[in-house]
Amino acid sequence: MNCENFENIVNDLARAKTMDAVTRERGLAHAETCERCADRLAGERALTAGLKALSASDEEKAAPDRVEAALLFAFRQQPILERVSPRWPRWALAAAAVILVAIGLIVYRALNNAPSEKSRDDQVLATPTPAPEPVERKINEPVVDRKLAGNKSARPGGTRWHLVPRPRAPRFLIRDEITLYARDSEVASDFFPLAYEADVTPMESGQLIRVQMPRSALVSFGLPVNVERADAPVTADLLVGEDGLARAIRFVR
Amino acid sequence: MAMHLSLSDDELLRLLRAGDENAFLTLYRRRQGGLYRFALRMSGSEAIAEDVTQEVFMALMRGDGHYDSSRGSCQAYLYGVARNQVLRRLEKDRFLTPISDNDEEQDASTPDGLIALTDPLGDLTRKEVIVSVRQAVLALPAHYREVVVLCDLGEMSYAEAAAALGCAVGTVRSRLHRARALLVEKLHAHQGADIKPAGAANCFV
Repeated sequence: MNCENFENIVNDLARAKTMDAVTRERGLAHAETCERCADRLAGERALTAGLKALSASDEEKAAPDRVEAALLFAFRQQPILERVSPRWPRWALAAAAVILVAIGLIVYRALNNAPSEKSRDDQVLATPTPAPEPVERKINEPVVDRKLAGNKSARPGGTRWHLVPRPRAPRFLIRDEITLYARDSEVASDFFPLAYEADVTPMESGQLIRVQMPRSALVSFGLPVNVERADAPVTADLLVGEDGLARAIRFVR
Repeated sequence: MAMHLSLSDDELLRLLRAGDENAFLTLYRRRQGGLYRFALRMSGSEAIAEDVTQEVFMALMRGDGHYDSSRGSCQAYLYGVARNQVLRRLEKDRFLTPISDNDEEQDASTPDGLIALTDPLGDLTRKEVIVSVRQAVLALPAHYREVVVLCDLGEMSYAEAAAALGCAVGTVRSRLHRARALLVEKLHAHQGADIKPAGAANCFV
């Protein structure tokens, strides 16, 4: 062993760390023949002793009892604080967005599979720039919300979601449809845009879909939740783009 | 409470997050001493050590940092939080609370239990050594100081220290090597011939 190799192991030698027995013997043998390395080892051993003395001098030191008391107090307050102002981590918000997107996709596909209305809509929207007359007629045509009108056969199946399909419409029609919806004796919140990680294409057209959601969904958008009605679903309008992605949502009362 | 003593840190953490107070106390009492001493040795300040210890467990309660047991041990996570807190405090208090060089103040902190009443000269030497080593450690740059505090004073393995510091084992090893060389130099300058640095002469036997 030479001095360079010795330098690599001198710390472990001085700190009496577990090491290869052969290497250890060679290191110690080298220190016996090399004055410089012997001094180096002696210095490291003295340092180790000094550090051990320092470590022992404050071995019993610990945080004072008041720290434990303060933390315990905070721990006991924690559940109350969480009830008053629930914290929604980012992953929960992202999950909520994903769920909404999935709902949008399901609804979109369900609508596309609906036989009669879809074909009629496709006929209406067959041309990207519809002639003024049909568009005008569509704007003035009252939109009937079957669910609100008491038509129980609007959508068969599904126990939780009550979907009211809206016809496809060019972008400028969406605002009119929204207005028509709002004309019913309803109170609606503003639309909340639904954010996605990936960029989505600008919306050219879309449709408004009425859904019922768990009331806890209100929290995701910073809206207050009536705890007494926590189990009752809340009605919402989803704005779904032609790509099937839900772009915005509003809550209706 | 006794049942909790046999549980691992991760199990205690799971119970803690479910609101189990005893799990919190068990984990706190298991880890607070080491964290407090780490902060104390890093900062030289009992006030900072106390604050850091409290903040580490507050962070644990709040779920800050999103501890993931698959990425490292709970101990490493706690020391990582403590280290960040200490460095933040040192940076913040850099111009406000410089580390004291007052020997008398340092002497006063030496526990009586370490003083052998039958050997006053030896006691004096030992106290001087402790004071000198403490000052030398506090004078190290932070990235060297932390490996000395963890590996030499805290008796952590290289791997444990690496996990706590978020770096490679080789980095810990090389930093410790350099830190100890600096300490020997500082102590040699302070104590004269008691601790000798590496000589100027080189040999390749």
